[in-house]
Amino acid sequence: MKRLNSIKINHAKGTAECAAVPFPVPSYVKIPMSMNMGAPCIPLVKKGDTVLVGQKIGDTDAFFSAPVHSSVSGTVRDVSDYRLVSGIVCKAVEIDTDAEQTMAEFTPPVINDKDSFLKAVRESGACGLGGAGFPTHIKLNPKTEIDTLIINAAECEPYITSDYRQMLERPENVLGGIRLIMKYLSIPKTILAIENNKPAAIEEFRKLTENDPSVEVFALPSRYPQGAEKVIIHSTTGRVVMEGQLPSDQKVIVMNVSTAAFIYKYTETGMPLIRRRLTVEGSAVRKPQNVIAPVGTLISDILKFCDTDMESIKKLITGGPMMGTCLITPETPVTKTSNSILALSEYKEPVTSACIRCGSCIRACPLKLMPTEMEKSYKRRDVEALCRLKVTLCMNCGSCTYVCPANRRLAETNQLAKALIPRK
Amino acid sequence: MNKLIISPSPHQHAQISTKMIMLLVIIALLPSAAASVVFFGPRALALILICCASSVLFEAVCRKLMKREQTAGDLSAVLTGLLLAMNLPVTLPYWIAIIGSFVAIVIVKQLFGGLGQNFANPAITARIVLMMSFTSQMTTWAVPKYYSATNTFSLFNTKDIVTGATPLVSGTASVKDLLIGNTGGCLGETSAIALLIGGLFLIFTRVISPSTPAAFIGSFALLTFISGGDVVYQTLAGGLFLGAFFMATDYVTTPVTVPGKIIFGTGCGIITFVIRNYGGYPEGVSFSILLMNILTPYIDMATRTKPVGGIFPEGIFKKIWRKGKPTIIVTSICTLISVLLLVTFNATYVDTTGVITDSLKTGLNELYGDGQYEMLKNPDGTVLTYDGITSVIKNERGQVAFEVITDGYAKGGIHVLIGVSDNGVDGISFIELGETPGLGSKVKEKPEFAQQFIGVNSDNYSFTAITGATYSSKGMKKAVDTAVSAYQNHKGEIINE
Repeated sequence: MKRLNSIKINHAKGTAECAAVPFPVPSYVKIPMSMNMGAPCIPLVKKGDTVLVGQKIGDTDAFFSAPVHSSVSGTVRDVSDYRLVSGIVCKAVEIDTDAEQTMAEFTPPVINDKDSFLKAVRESGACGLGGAGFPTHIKLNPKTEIDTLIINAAECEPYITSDYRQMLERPENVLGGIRLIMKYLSIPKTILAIENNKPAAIEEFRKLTENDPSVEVFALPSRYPQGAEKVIIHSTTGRVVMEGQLPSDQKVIVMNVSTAAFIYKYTETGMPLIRRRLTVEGSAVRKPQNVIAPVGTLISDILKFCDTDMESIKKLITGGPMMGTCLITPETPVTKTSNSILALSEYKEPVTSACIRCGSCIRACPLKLMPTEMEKSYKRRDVEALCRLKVTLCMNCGSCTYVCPANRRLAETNQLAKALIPRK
Repeated sequence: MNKLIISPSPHQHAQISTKMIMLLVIIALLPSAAASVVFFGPRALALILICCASSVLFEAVCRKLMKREQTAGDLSAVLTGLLLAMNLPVTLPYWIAIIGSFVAIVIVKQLFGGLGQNFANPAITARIVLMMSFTSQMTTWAVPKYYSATNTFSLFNTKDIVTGATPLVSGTASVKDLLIGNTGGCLGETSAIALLIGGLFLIFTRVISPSTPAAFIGSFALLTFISGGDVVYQTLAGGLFLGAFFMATDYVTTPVTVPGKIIFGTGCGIITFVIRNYGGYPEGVSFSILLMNILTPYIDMATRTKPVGGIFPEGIFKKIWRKGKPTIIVTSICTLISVLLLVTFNATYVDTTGVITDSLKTGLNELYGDGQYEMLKNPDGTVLTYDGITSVIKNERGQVAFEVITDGYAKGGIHVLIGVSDNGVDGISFIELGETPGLGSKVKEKPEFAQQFIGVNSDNYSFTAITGATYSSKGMKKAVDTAVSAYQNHKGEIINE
């Protein structure tokens, strides 16, 4: 099987050995009502209400969404408008914590078939924790029969180690989640795909699944972007998700390893998704580490906790350096999908020069697109050529921009070009 | 706190820049440059420096005049200058080298929009322009001598330099000399080993893909092998290595995908083979690359990658056409050209055996004045020929002229009538001269050259060859010797006929 194109990047997994530290309860949290793909939730609380840890504070009737729970106990300071990183405005519940962390009452959900399982998953507020935030109960309800569950533990982005720590610290949750999904969705086989730069995790899971032939631990090459959905499907099964298809059309479901672990934990305790493990790294951070922070904690609080030189930060990124998003202010809350915070004190915007047609971008693109041609077509606003070049397939992994010796912003151009293509 | 920088992902970049790529190619050319200085002396270094400096200067001035951002510092102009110098003979006057830089940078590169926009390789195009404009200077090849303090070419006086033919023309250099570079030629095309080291360095550092040089050298070697040529000699001699590793791999003017590069390289190999074996020029590498440069946009179009998971609504025939399109297009272009050549040749060919054509008549009149000329025949009616003599023509006064076709610099390039009598050579008249204009053609243009042969009646005489046209001069001597010996050996037969 021919491997898809990939690039070699510095892994910089400096925090791999840092066990996740629970973040002390902050004095204030801001919980956005839209943290995953799909419809934003409607706040269920109003100014002055008292909330408990795990209490549902936002929900919607829309199917393609997941409810939001409070991560702290305290008083609602305000329900305000909040502009998300994506630019969309939604409501956010601001809570002054009382430091008591009074728990709401939890009971593990009663699950006896697929329907009750999916219902429980929706109630838990679960969404894809890898970064995309696809509502999990929708992912687990495909229209076609599934023969393989792929657990994405590639963590191919540099710096980030939160999934790795999840695997090392709570391997039983990961396997529990896998078995639950296999059981209720009647999936015969699971492939746990881990990049081979994490030998400890591969070793651990090989040992744990020794007697379980239905779970295969698959060592991925440590090349970027192994964790991209289409790439991981191709690497592990050789199947190609065609244009316009979902992974389920190729009889697979891809799920992030932390999501699987969370589902198991939820079915055991009933505690919804209110905390997340994230990596705090970057040249401005003096104590890089993994923390488990309540959703809604301000990033500035976390950075201060990690002894960050706030004055020196030039660029603040949530997510990895390849696909992460820039933040305009550190007063941004942690969401369900934040897997990392990078605070860079050194950043020089590269100077763009003329394309020399070296073809690096074409060799780098995992989907064999031609970024240099697409850039030229975009400049001409040639929609027909862009369609022929399949610009819509671009997943914005950033490999082309990364390798470009002329520092052309090819990935960005692809996203702009997509906007020209009329939707069917 | 600082204002945070906002930019789209990715937020880190590979440590590679255009400038670094240019630098790597320059480093890869250093062994060849060093070899040229060793073999041709400090004048080679001076030529390299002048080409580089003038290229950078032209680039800087151009960008300034065109009010574009200054790119003279990106080393691409230095590289163009260096490559140009590699394509020049050491004896070339400096001012011609500067004209070369002007053509490369201003005309081929900047007028088309600068780096990345030119459709043809600047150094190759400049070489071809110089070759056409200054044929004599561009084909004066110095015989290399190892550098030493007393035995070296002067920086400014090039008159005393001993010149000879390139190994591609003479066909006499040893393989060892070709490998090391102890042969005549351009600065950069002498030492095959130095070029190979540079080429392998570029492949190893992944600056170039091995597919282009492999396809280029491979297809050329294969064709040479099939046609029964000396594969090793033909591959090592001339500019093949320089072209395959450094010119046909230029990013800007060659296809971007690997299949495209293979087509490009193969096309170059085929054209080089055709020009070297059937063309009027002894070397075809630069022309082949220029011609393929022109085809590059089409090769690119034909060899687009197929995106993973992309759906293309197309039938089976369309699919075969798409998959085979590059092959089909290139094959049909080659076939079409061959067919055209054949048709033209056949349409214009007239069998003139045994006939005194107008051009022969003119030549005869030049030699002996007007008269009744007759071509001698064998008893069976066929044309009388001797070794090396195409025909023998006699007039009513008994004066005899031999028609001789012999090799000069070009195969069969010398076609002359030589009048011979008991007094030796009476005169020479030229029927057709296929020699290099400005060089070999001097055997005709300088009457004093042909005058030397008048009265010659043995092959033991001395004559002065024309500088820069050694092979044409030698060819003339051969023609005269053939005619004289034929007259002496077959005198009785001819006179009594």
